[in-house]
Amino acid sequence: MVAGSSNSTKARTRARIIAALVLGPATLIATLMLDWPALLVPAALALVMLAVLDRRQFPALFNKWLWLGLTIAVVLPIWLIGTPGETDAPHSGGGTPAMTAGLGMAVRVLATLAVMLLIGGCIAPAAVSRFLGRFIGKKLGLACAIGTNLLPAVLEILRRSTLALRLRGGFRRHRLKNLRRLVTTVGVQTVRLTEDVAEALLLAQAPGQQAAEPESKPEESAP
Amino acid sequence: MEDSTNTIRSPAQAQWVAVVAVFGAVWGAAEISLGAILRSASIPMHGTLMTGIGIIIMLVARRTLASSNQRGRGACLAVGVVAAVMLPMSVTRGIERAVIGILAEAVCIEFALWFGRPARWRYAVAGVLAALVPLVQLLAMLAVQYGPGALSSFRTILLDKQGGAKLGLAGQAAGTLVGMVVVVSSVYGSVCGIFGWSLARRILQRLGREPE
Repeated sequence: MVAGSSNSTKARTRARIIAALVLGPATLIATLMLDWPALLVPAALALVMLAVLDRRQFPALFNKWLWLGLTIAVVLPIWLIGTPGETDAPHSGGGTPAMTAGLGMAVRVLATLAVMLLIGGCIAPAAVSRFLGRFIGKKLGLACAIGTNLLPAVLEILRRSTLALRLRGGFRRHRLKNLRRLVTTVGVQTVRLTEDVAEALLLAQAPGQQAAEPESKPEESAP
Repeated sequence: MEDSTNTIRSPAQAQWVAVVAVFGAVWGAAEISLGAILRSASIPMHGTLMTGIGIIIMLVARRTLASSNQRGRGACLAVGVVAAVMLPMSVTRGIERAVIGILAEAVCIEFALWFGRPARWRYAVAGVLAALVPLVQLLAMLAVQYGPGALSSFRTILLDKQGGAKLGLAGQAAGTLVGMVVVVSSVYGSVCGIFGWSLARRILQRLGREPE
């Protein structure tokens, strides 16, 4: 059982590393070269790999509302209006090229979110803190390192608050009032998270006290 | 966590770091997700829209710190720095402009709140200053990209009676349009500032703390 779980953890870690290695450069290249939708194929393949191997770790990425929002806000407008004039070969709306451009933009946004979650969840705070501390001060460097690692926690707060609101009726009635409630709840959860983080920082401040506790236990249990 | 043992020396410092990290992460997450979508779709005035979110987050962070016997000085600027550091994770175009904008907004809010005690009107003024940053940044980017000549052409279009004709507008319509954009941005900024003030009060009351 333990061996099985460690194997699955290893497989997930491997999937994350491979997906990060493919997604990052692929998305960057595809973003710089907007007129080559074929460049998005590696990014799309990496997203499929994440969906198959590690879907539970990225609930935000495979949320149906995100997909619906992307379709309404990105794919449909680009398909109907066309691509922006700043691209090298702008397409007028309504045709297959415009639809390809819209789908490409949606894949780009999904790949960007995946890269954010992948990088945000696996950065070592101490290393980032040391590196940034040289330039912007120790306290601010530490805050940057912690903040980067808190991205999944922040998204979880948003997901839980939305779920709680949906259980109480969602946005069907009193939309403005419910939106205000949602914002307040997210704010309260965020401030509670700051209290937890501050407590963790203070606990880490006194490692000597923590180290002393396990040593005392064997003495108590000894006959 | 070795570094934190050397850096954090008191509960107040731990709270400062925690508030800056968490609220910076919230703003960074908003910029990376919603901001990336708005930037990719080239939606007009997306910078101003995202500025509103940033104003509210910075002001709530500031008032949260101010409520716990800390003045909260430097918190808004630090929250902006954390959000700006996280922005390169978003592999979309125009990140450098967004980073400059975030830092400039943070500096404006910090400047407006540096002197005196926190008050609703002060938060509104801070919001107005920050909301005008995207417009000023647009002019600054014009000057950087095309030289000072671009600014003088812009001034001609705005102030000359026939200037609007270059854009196909009658008389001083161009100036009026720009004036309207400035007014709308200012009102939007002040509303966000006041909303940030009242949201922080609601949050602190819900947590049983006394807002300052």
